[in-house]
Amino acid sequence: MESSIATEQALRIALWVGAIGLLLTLLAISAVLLLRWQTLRQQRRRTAFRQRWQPVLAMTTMVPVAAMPVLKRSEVEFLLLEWLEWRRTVRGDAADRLAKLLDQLALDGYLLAWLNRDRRHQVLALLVLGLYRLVSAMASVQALAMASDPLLSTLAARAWWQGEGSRIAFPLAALMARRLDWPLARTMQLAQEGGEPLRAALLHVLPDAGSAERLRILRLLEPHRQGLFLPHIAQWLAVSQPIEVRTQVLRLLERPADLPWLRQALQDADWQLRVVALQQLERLGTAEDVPALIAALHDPVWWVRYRAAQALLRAPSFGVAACAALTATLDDRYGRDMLRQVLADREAGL
Amino acid sequence: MSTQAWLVGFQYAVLIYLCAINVGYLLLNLAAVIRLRRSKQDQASNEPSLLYADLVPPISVLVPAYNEQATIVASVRSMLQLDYPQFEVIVINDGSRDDTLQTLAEAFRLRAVPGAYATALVTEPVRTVYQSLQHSNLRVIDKANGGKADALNAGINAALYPLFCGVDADSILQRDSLQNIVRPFLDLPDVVAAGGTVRIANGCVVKDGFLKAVDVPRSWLARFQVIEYLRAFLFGRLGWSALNGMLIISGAFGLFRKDTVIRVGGYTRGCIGEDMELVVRMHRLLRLWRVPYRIEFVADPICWTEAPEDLATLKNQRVRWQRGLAESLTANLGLLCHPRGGVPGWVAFPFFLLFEWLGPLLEVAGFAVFLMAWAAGLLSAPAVLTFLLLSLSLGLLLSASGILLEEMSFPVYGKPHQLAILLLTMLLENLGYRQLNTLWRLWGLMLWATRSQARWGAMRRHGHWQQSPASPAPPQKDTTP
Repeated sequence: MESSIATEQALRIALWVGAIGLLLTLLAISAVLLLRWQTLRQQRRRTAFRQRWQPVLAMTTMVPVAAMPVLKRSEVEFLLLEWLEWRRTVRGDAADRLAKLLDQLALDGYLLAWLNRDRRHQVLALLVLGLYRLVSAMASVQALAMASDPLLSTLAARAWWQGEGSRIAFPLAALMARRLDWPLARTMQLAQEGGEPLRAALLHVLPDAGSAERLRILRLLEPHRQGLFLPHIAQWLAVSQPIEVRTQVLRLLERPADLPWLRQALQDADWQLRVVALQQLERLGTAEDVPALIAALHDPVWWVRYRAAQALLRAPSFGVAACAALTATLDDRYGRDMLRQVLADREAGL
Repeated sequence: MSTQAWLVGFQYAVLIYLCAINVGYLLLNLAAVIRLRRSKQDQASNEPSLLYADLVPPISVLVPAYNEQATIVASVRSMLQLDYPQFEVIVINDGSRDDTLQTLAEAFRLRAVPGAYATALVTEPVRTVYQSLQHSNLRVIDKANGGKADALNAGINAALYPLFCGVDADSILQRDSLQNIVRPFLDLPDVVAAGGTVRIANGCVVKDGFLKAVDVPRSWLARFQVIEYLRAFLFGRLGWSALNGMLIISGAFGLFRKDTVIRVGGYTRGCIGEDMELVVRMHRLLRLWRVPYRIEFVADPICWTEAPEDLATLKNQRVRWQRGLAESLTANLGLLCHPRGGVPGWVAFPFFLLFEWLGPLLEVAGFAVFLMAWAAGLLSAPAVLTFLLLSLSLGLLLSASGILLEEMSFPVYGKPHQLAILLLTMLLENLGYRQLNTLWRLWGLMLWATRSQARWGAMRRHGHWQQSPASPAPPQKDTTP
């Protein structure tokens, strides 16, 4: 009797769960159909919008445009997306005219309001504001640059820089060093765009930075390495420093005056340092370095031998013929094989 | 305990199991929806300038090949046309018995180069390394047969760049595949691997190795797999990725940080599910070593693959997948509920163990007990029917969720008739195909238990698109070495 009641109960539960499952399935299918309808509607609206506004935007890049179609409230997002596409491809007067177009349409209010809306609107507003350089928005943009969301704060930092320029080089450099969660590629792009003022600011914050921040700053200096004078090199290359810091410092050395550091690194116990030293010597080395490069062909690590062979092949004072001759005389099999490989690579057009 | 009482207990167990698995999947669905919304928001910030500002890491594309004579040239040509600032393609000929190497040598003017070779991972001997005289970024490694994992390890040894992308020789990529899959590496500093969405190419128009137009497959078997792939990738992997608990990156297309893979020991030789095993091991060891890391998933469709259209090949594939799953989980049991296991160890691993690994056994046992009890008169027909309907309705719900996520993310089946076919397929898939699949998976589980030898996964493919008009019809391969 009890078993029969329990079976009925189990069946009832199964029936209910099944019914709920079917109901949710129907809801999901309805949602699919609704989404499809909305997407089609949105596409049609966007196409119609483009037909009206693309000629205006194209014309604006050439001459100021006075008469414009009516911009509906629901079309502001479309316009900003299109504007962004155009603005990314133009410079100079055309860029100014595109900015004036936003003035004419009085979209400042929207952009400011969007900085406080959901993430999608914030992202779009920040991308536009950076290129539009709306002064009244910079305080809000600065606040967003401190936000915890890495992508949002990186975009805000870029917009802040685009709006304020070198005036904010020092606080921005400090922020870039501190925010280890910021995407490295985007942050490097910002460092690159920041030019000389940001380079100076990054070098300024380098000595006082903690070890993780130090590595970050050294990486951010990479786009600026040409002619870079890096202070305290001995300190950064000390064995006590993490290997990432030491290799990164070597990568930044570009001046002939830095050659002694590279030569010294070639003797280091860490193979990663030796590899980077060889990469740098390939570009900066002189005839004086050839014996050290030949010695590196006997290194126990494959990558060191590979880099040494590459450096010898490309060294103006050594080159292909000398490498071929060396292949015949070299006693060490590993070094010989490596030279043969890079010579064959070269012949194959690599 | 009486038979009746045992049956009641069994019914409750089935109910609890069905509810648990479906609630689990629906929660994953929710996580996937949240992640999708976020990635959609981020799309506006994806600037092409970032990709071409020397800020993206170069990538080595590794293409392991075994008896791929018929399709390898078209595949490599399409890979060489990928839109990415700096990459190399390394084809690893894993001791093919057909003319794969000769075909490549003729098509790309290969020339042997001396084999000074880094061996961070131990592999079967490399015979010769070839360099293309036409494409400076194409190399071919000819090695003794050692299986797919061994071939990939040889490719990792030869790779010059810090990231490598394992690609199946028969994968159809999009020109922007590498651009899309590299994004997590640009946005998050601790990403060690990223997987992408793989879609079914049957029915699509492919020209010169690239996808030109999308359509639903004509074969119902392939259509069922479309729904399966939507479920597996869109809420399965995307959901787990949101929780940093993704245990699988498809071997068809995945991007890895080379030094991390070498550090964890590379791909396991002789393992059938080498792609999953590597990811599970990465979770286990990186957590054990307290290395901060993320394994990400890119929802954009970036890789298309041909699905089997005959039952024998499909069965072979599913059996292998199930064996691979079993191997991957049992080889890394140390991750299960490890104090440092986090989401992978405490949520994803037990979930896979219970619902993916043991799932077929429990499902088949459930069906069998219900049918036997009905046959013996212990259970009424309405009772059996109720449980079958329950299973059907929950299956439909999961399939519908997959289609919903597809619609929310990157809908590729844009025409109304395509959507109608998908919805119909969703219904039909639950009437036989899913049950058949469960039986195959159970067979895979049994084969794993008997420890049969691992082999390269050969598939009977049509691959009409892979051939140039002038080339002869490819010999079909359906045997393994």
